[in-house]
Amino acid sequence: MFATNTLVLAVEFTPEQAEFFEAKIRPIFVDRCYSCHSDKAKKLKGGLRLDTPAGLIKGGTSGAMLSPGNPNESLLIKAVRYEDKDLQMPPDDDKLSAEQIATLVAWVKMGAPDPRAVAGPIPLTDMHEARAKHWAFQPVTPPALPKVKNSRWVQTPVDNFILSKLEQKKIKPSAPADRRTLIRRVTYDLLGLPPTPEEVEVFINDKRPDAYAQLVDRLLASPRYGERWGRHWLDVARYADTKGYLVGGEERRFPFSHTYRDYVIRAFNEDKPYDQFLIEQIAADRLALGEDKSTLAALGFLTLGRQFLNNQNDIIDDRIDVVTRGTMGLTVTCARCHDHKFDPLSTKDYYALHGIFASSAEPAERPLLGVLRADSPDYQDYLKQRAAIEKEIAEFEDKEIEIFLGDRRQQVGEYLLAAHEAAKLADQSKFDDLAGGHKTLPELLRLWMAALDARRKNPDPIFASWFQLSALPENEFPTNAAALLAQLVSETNRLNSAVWQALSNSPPTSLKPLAGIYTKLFKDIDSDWKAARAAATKEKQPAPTQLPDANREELRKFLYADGSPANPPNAEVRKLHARRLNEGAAPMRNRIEALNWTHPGAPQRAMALVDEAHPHDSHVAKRGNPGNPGSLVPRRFLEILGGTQRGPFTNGSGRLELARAIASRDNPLTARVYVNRVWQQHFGEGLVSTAGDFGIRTEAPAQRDLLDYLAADFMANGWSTKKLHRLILVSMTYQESSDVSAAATKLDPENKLFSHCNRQRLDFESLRDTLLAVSGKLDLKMGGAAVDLFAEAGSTRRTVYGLIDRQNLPGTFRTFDFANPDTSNQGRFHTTVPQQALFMMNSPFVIEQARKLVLLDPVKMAGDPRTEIQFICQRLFQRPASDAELRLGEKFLAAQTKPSAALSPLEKLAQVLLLSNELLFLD
Amino acid sequence: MSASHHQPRLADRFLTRRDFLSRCGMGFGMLGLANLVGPQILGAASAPIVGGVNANSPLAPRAPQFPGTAKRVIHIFANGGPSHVDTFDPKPSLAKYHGQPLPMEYLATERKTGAAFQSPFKFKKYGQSGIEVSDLFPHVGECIDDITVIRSMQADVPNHEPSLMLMNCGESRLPRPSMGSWVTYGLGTENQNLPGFISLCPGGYPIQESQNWQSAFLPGIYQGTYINTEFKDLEKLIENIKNKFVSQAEQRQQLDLLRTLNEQHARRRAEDAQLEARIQSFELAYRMQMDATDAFDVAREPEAIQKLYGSGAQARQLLIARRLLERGVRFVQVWHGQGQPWDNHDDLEEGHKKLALESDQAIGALLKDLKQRGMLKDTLVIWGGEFGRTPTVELPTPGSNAGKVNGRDHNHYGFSMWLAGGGVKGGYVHGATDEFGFKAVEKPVHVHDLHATILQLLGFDHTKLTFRHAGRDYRLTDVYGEVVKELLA
Repeated sequence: MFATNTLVLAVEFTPEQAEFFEAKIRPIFVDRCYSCHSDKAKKLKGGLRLDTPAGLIKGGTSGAMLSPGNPNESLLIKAVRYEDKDLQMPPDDDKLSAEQIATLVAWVKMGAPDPRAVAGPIPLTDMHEARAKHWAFQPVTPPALPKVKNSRWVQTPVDNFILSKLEQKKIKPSAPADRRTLIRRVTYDLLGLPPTPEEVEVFINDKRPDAYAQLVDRLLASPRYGERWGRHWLDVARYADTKGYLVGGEERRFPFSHTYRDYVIRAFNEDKPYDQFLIEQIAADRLALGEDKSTLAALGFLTLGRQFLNNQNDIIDDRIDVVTRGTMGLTVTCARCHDHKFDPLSTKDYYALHGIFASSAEPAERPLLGVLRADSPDYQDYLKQRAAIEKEIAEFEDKEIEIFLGDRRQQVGEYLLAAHEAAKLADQSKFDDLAGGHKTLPELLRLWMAALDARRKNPDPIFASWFQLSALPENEFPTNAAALLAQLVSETNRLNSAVWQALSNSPPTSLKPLAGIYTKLFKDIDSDWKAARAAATKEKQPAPTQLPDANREELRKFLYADGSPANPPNAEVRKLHARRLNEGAAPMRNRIEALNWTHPGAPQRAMALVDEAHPHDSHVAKRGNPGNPGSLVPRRFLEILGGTQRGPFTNGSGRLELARAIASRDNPLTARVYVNRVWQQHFGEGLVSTAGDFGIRTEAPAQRDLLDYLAADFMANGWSTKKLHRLILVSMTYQESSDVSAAATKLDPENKLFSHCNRQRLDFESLRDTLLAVSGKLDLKMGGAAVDLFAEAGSTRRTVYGLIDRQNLPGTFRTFDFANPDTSNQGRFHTTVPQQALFMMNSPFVIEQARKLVLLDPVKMAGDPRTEIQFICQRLFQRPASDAELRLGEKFLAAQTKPSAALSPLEKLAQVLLLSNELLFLD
Repeated sequence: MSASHHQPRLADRFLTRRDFLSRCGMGFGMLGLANLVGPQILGAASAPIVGGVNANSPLAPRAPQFPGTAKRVIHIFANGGPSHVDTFDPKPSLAKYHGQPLPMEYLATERKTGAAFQSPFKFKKYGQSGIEVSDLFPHVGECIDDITVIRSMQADVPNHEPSLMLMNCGESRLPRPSMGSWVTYGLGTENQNLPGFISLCPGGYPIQESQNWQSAFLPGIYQGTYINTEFKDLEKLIENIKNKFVSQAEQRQQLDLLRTLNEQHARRRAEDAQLEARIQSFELAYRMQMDATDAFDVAREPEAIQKLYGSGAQARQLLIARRLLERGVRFVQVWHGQGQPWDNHDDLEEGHKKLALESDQAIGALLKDLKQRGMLKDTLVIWGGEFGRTPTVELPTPGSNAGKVNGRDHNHYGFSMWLAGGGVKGGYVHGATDEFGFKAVEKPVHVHDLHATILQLLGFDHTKLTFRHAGRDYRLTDVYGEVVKELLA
């Protein structure tokens, strides 16, 4: 049941034996052994694990523990019997009971059946073994085409593989689908839109032998193709237009995310070779691009993930994941904290890649994508608008800084007092607490202390009184302060008289009131100064340069002079006040960002990545904790793919070398993973069911040879996606009808052998685009900034151009199983829930399309209900309505005796048809 | 049956993938669930019909791994971080040191804190158990004999965003499914006419927004449905719940025609469960329109009940929550408000008084109401924030508080939460913080442990409720968590 090339523990057991193990054996292990021999052990003893079937078989450092069928030969039994003095388990004379030992003996006699090991693959983390055994690590070599009996059925080599397996199993493939079904299937498949009734008629009547191949070519040439298949890749690329959660009103939209989306659509339309496509997305900045830099947009693949509040290690993890899982089906990020549990991927592999991305950064100025038309009026206008906002920001900041400084000028006394106490502080670690207690800022307090110390050295007209009085012991203050002050005035001939006057007006009784006097005095000075300036402005006089009174001017200077602690430099204030400055300016900066993606003259830029000037290796972070560094690992490729002799990457960060190692014909995974994704999209099921995991736990697919053939052919054809499509689509396999025979259901219920086509449901994009297409409202404009699909008067553009907000993904997206914008997707879910039905029944969007549908000319001019219904049916299903359906429709229309004011009977009927299963499902 | 890393998929043994998919009405990834729910629904010839649907729906009710004591959950989220030393964890020693430094090594929190700050609120013993509750929560106090207070909660960091993510999703930074998503994934929901997981919050989103109820890599249908309870108009509560163009009778006519056409379409094809599932989904949606209207209309409650809950946004949304639970919604989260209302860095006394006054009566009423309806025994009620607050006063930092020096900083080292109903003990206090309430020192309960315990109450071994994503079997508790057995009645 599992592939032969994964290691399998094929222990046979009966249900009774399983029961025996669960009831008797496992409890002994759990109670008596697990504390040392399981993942619950603090330290695993003797390398032995009993909590996994693999551990049980492998044994520990003393060797194999079991000899199934031979209790006397089994180390386990010897140990529990205490036969050997050096191997007694459980240790310390804590022997098992005789009954427990007998139970274990009986179990080994049975062959030691372990029901935990039902044919489960065990990890293959050993490099050599994995490389030798795991199917997906084997080189891609084209298998020979299998012979088939019914060779007339074969249209492309795909059919050889499919038919030969079906013939082996004696399953008859389904009959070919009729042409109407086929054109509908393939048009949706390639374009995500319905064919027009005219296109269907043309195809049905096309008698050329290669009519179908011609149809496929026509569809592949349509620009709609890139929009459909580009979106599939965007699922892999976990594409979104926003950064995820951010604090403080920062703009969440990426300014140029759409340039990546448009690059992807263009790449599919141009059939860019897949290897080149990958190299550009990982390392376009390292390629010689010439004049046209538009390729740089490809780097959005790496940069457009969630921003994790700017946690660099999480951003890097996301990039490693999208690259390794998205392109190679390897779950490398499992090795962030420990070696991979199943696959041969070590933490060293992970941190080798970590170093590459840690040596890459987003440039401060994003590179221009096109040639800048500096003289264009649009661009000039953009610059003008931008400069206006930048001016606003500068003015805002000046104002904020002035407010901040103004507040500090009100705090002179607080700083004096705090400085006084801080000087006496024994434990400097409490400095910040002390500053906080005085409502002062630690950084400014340090400036104050330094300034006061300097002033203390000379007679200081402003602060001499503070210096003297603050030196007084607290209990002497009330009695001695006045005398000391008097002495000070008589001895120094230069005490600032404004200070002296303030002190004599209300002689302080302790230090705190003294500080208060200083506070008040400087507040008065500051308000005098402001008043003087205001008065001058009012009377249109030149601004004053000083206060008239020399003593007061001396105090003013202290508040405003450079180098004064009351007037810290702007750079310092910016740091101290950063939060307010940033938050306050955020709305203005957001306007600049908005201008960047809305103004026609705004230059388009790439969400690029560049190598840092000094690339560096990363340390292994033990247990994923960067604070606990292990060995330094060179930047290089994964060992399982690059081999033990692989060298370090030397070109910059190594991204280009990484990209080339991935997009290489020698890489056994890249082409396999991609052709599987393409197959999955065409058939609704992959050849490998886990598109994002080709590791050890993924068994070789039933159609392994077909997968290898497709991969080899794909590379031989220059990695051309369109050629791959042709190979698959022109096959008879793809053209089978979705009718399934009873015999096929019985022999291959999962249709792993593709004896018929799987019925597929339109995804959300195709459904919404279809509603717009049939109502005649679909806007086919391509590219550009994302549009809001769910606004009141929502956009009528294709869904691929809708804004994807990964933080708060619109409910409708979620309800309809849209891709997860946070992680590389391996396919979409297919749920059927009433919320989807509510959208179809009640949303103004759907009702609007029903209305528009009946406003189309052919309906308006039909004249009778049958013709109306006939037209709508053709437009929606590309087939004529049956008589029974026409009668049902007429009956429905006739029953609308009390027509609603809002919707006409025909509009209601049109809506019903839009809701029908026939519209949603593709046979 | 175990679904650990090392096990094969049980689904492979009981039924084919295609079979399984059609029964579950969904695609890959759900296979983890097959292990979980076992053959009782998957192997059955006809899936059980509950609430008018069979197991075709991913939201169909499912049995847990073993019989749980809780069948539904209401999580009352006091977002912002309520102070434990002012609510459920009395610390008389703070009075002794009020205004002085605490005689202990201060633990690093988000911002600087200074002197001890005694609670401005009085504590009083309540009920038979005599558990002390502050005068902020008298109505909750009256129900204390039905409550387990955990005084030894611990989280990882003193910041809102990661702590909200940890409390809701079990992981601080990376996008992981929320608890409500896991529970709905595991149990489905009892009422197909309402969403299975609903998040109520008046006025807008809490911090970290809809990530708090994200489904991450689980199917989108398990994401919480956000409802802004500030609105009273149903159309604003649930997307597309009302048709503004036609009457119900007209819509019924439309759906009858649709059904006929769809049945004809299905008859022309071999049997296909996905076609049938979609036919059913319209019938469900039709009923949902009525049931939702009813569920959110609190005016239909008798006056005595309305009075019991009191007035205001909290009363209204808790009453809505009860009506939802009663109708079979699996998981309801009730947030105090937009942003982080309980985050009182300044003016703690005033702030906490206001917030408690807004919510206490309604929370007490909810407990009494659930009990009188016989619902408390299998409804798990959870109250708490993302962390608690420091026993010391927060010092001024420009730009981040008003510098009033009368509030408390965040504290993840120790805080209180309480549980009631659903099989938890009543009148029980679990664990303790140190003398001052800075850190959990007795029987610490990490958020992972709380999650493990909640899943246990619902009938799940937390190590076995898993989902395969990106090559790994993920779970709510990641690689952590121990069930706190002492909490179970």
